[in-house]
Amino acid sequence: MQRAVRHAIPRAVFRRVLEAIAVALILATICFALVHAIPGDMALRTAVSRLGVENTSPGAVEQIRESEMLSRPLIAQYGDWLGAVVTGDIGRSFVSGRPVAEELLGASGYTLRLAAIAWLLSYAFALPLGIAAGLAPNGALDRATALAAAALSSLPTFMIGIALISVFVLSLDWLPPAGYRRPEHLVLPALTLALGLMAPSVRIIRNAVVEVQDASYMTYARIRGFGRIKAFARHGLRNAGVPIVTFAALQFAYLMDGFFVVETLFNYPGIGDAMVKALLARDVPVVMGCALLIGTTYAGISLLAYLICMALDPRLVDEGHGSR
Amino acid sequence: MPRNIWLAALIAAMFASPLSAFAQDELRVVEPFQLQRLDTQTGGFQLRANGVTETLVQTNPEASVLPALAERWETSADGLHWTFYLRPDVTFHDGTSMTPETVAASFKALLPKGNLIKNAKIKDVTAGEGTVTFTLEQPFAPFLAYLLDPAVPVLAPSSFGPDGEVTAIVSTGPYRIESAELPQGLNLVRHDAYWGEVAKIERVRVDGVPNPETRVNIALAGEGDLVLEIPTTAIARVDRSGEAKIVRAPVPRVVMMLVNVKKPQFADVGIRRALSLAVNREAIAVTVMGNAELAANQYFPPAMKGWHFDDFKPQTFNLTEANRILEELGWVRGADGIREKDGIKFAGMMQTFPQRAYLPVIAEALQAQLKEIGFDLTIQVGESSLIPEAQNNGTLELGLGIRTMIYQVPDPVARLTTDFATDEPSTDATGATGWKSEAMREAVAAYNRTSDPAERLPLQRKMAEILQDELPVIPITFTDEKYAISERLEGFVADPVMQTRPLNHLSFKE
Amino acid sequence: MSHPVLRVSDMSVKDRSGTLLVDRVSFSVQRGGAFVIIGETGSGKSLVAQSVLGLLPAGLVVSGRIEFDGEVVDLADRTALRRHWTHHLALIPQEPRSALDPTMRVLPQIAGLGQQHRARATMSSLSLHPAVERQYPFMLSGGMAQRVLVAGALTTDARVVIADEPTKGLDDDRVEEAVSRLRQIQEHGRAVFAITHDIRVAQGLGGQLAVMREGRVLEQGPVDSVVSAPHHAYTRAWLGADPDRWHARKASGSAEPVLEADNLSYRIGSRTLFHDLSLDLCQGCITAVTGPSGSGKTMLCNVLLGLARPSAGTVRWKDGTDPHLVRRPPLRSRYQKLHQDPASAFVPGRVLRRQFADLRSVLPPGYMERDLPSLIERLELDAALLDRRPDEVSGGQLQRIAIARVLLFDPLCLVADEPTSRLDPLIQRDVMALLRKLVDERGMSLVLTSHDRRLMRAVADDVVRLG
Repeated sequence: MQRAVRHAIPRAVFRRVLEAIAVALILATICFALVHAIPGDMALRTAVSRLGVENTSPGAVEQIRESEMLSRPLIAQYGDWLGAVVTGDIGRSFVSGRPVAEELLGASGYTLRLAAIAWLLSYAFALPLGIAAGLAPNGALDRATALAAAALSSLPTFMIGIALISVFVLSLDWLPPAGYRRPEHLVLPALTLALGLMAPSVRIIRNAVVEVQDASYMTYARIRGFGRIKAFARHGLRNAGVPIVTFAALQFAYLMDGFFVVETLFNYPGIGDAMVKALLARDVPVVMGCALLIGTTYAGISLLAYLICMALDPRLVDEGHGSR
Repeated sequence: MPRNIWLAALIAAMFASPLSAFAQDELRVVEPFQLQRLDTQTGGFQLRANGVTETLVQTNPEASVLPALAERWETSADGLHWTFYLRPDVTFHDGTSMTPETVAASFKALLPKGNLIKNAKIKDVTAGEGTVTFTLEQPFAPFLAYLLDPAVPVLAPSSFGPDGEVTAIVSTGPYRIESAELPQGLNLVRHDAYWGEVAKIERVRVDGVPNPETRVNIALAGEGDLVLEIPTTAIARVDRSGEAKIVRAPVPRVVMMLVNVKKPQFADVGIRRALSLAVNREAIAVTVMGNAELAANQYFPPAMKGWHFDDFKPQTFNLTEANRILEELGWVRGADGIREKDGIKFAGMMQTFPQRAYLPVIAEALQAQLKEIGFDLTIQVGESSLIPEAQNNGTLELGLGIRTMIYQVPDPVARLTTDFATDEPSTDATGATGWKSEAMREAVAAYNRTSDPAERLPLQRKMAEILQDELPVIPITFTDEKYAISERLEGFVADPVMQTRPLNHLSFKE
Repeated sequence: MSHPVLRVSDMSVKDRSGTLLVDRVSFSVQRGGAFVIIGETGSGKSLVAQSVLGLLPAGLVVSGRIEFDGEVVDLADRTALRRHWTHHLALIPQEPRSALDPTMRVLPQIAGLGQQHRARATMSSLSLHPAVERQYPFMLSGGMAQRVLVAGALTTDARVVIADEPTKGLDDDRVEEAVSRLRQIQEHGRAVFAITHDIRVAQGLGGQLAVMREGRVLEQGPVDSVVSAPHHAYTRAWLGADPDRWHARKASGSAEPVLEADNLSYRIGSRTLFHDLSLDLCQGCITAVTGPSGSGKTMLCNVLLGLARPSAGTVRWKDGTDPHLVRRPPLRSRYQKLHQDPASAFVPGRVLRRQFADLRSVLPPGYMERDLPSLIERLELDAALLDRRPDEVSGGQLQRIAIARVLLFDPLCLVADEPTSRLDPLIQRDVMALLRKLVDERGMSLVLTSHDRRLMRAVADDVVRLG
């Protein structure tokens, strides 16, 4: 067993890291193809984004085409990018002229902070609610959370955001409407994302808890003298943890989706906003940098979730080891 | 227990902002543009609008050119040399003094990056005894206006890196940049050694907020002292909020229908006139722009004296006349009510873009109105840069765009040149498509040769008349700028010409 | 006779509508002795065990008394009953592997709090290797897991250990092993109270035996006397249902082949399920496929029916047809399968008659009026059952209805995958007898899979052993 653990975890990490690199590169390649598949003159788009709609001159367009070497064959442009990435250089933004790494570092710092708070917030609500609902299935709380979850998940993110703004900003005047500089600026965007995240996770947690409550090892534990709460703490949490952790990691994909909406609505700088702007500006280096970042982050999170699941459930270590 | 402390520290670290330079008494400006990079070519307009950069001259709200860093100026008899007498005792933001040498060096470094100023064809800039002299390749009468190109302000030597690139913005304006958070915003602080009226408010925060609804929310919550470009639909809400009031200022900006006169269904000027007559401008101005007076019966708005002429025959809404013209030209209605001639459908696709929220709405109004004369209008809303591309490759049929006539350079001719008197490819969703007028080009050239107002006026009338008669673009409505001004702010005066904010005149009420 | 450690008096269980599910059951368990209740599914035997533990499902009402070493407790008082957990009562749940938390090592699970020494001692007394205590449940075999549970029960002070279906799902030759483990409990001086449908458990443990049916104890007494001289007709039928006591079948095959399989092999990854297997199926023959679970019985069935391709070898149906290249659709419908769990073979919630009507596109017209009534009658089914939904019909009846459905196709070959493993012994005997008769009457070929070797011995002409 111990040997299995020692081998399984590095193996899993190694495999996931390879996967992460592959996913990120494939994603970036798809983005490259997509950006070039959108009709329109790349240099003109970049010039408009750099100089403004009414300020672009033919000279500026040609200057950008020249300096960013946009008239070369696509395959050469792609090859150069790939070659640079191997050496760790992901290029400079066409629009701002700053290194993409620097730009994404700034944006992803904001995004990560928002994501982490939103995620923690959602589980801070969802875990107690889901567990309480799961311990008393079909009780009043269970029905109430089911209803709330259905309502919340049918609402698009921006509707939740607008609703929160009208309550907490416009009516109560407790919180600022937009920005990023003060801690209180984070509250509403995080809450918007958290409510969207919570809706499905409460149900997942509730179902996981109901399932372990019905498991025969739970009955067995109780007959062996453990009280209801104690038996749940001893056996329930850990067993329910695996599906919950797996789902929580998946939810980061949902978060990516929500970022753009929330960042626009609350004028919060971040990766979603940066990526959409870069797409509109045909800022290829930034688009591909975003793809690399998103791909590796997602793979990193799923690796983390996998490791946590392995720590929770020894059967996964065994499967990862492939000894059976 | 230690675990809880770690958790608390983690949460605190997440909320803690590294950018905590925040003061409640700072002036909060919210504008729709985000500054992509801190150089004058990209951000020159915002930097000047917020009082960071300045140049030798400035304008007042009536578009007159006034002294700024230069106290006075003179032109040589041949019109090739412009000499500016610099204001003494001007200090840059870094504390160094402005000298003729620094000014000349600044122009030499920035002129290659200039936008419109290139039309002035400056050959050389030399420093003299308290003066700076520009030598032109040929006489250029509107030189003063072109000198206001925001891409070419006066910057201190410390602005430039070793290779001559702009690495920082160190100018002479009433505010200096304390720190920049690109692209979200700028933190400005008062330049205490300003040569003019020193700002009353010590700190300014400029935020770029592209989403109009978010700007409205900021205004409603009283979180912005000066919020730009409030959408028409939100005006009543902002006025009611008690946090801010709306100030409207006319802007020399027209919303116009771009017409590709190379397309057979638009080639005849009579057709363009019929289309123009079929547009109910008052209805659009009232319902979309919220102000009937914004209806654009000619290309230039009434506020532009010397360009707008009251005696022009207005392009009044007249369906009967429009239909009569079309019948006369042989366009007959088909079974579906759409006109046709020689197998050509009286139809067109109008491209527009959503960055100005009113454009798609106006496009839909036009669709309904033009149907009355048997014109089948389809609408495509996409990126703004799709329109100049379609103009250049000839595929554009119709477009709906905007033109700010006095933008960055306080002389409409700068824009008339690029829009109606050039063979250069189009780069923005403005101007004529497939239309060429020698008369227009001659008028522009003649205008650029003289600086005498008496000689210029007939040329201005000539240009306006050509646009009115030939309709290379069909004006629909003018726009106004709607600012939300917080209740605590006083001293705001809108500048319709340069759209600058005189931040140094603003103060908070007691 | 020593003092009983557990005495149950007048236990009755009712559901919400007042229907009596357990009717005045009384019994006692002697110190170090054994008490076994046997009965078919739905006889109420599980309810008795649950009532003793205070674990009845919500909505059921129990009345009666229970006496632990002289202390009388009302059976309706669940909290009071729970106080006796670990002191008087321990449980060995059915399906031992799922009764253990998969994420926890063995020792802490059975030791509970602060009893590690004792648990270790018990484990070694059951000759469990010390390494087992550090293992996770998924690493244990089923038998090992059951031994761990026995150790768990012995780690407590409980004088009565309740064994719930201790032989359920076990392969034939493992039953004896399971019974001997229960006997080890008795050797530790504890009493065993087992509920089962397997008479061998009772015979192995000795002690008292009660036969339950429809909530009532029909007969109760020492195992030997009940088995040797059953008073009640039901008990006699039950004992007769043991395949060992069935009448041997006379082979009546006509030797007309309906299926020939040559040199079949099937591999999943590196595992070989079967290799170089050849068999011929003849009309009127019953061929049995046996082997432990996971040995490939179901896969062989699928290969024979043309539902899976073998890794090597050929399957030929009647007249040499390759099942993967059937050009005659009617032939495909004459090679039929009968599923293990009849409930999963019907659409839940849809009235059975309509499920029969759903077959009209694949059956000759008029089958509902012409063929179905006679089949229903032949299978001794009430035609009214067809107007119910699958969940409203008992397991045995549903399996008969499934057989009726299959027979509508007039099969040449019927593959029955463990057709009786989920049925009680009496019903198993009925269904098997029916299948046997049908084979003789219709001259079809029947393939039976089962892990019950005694059953196979009793019915099959040919036996194929896998694994």
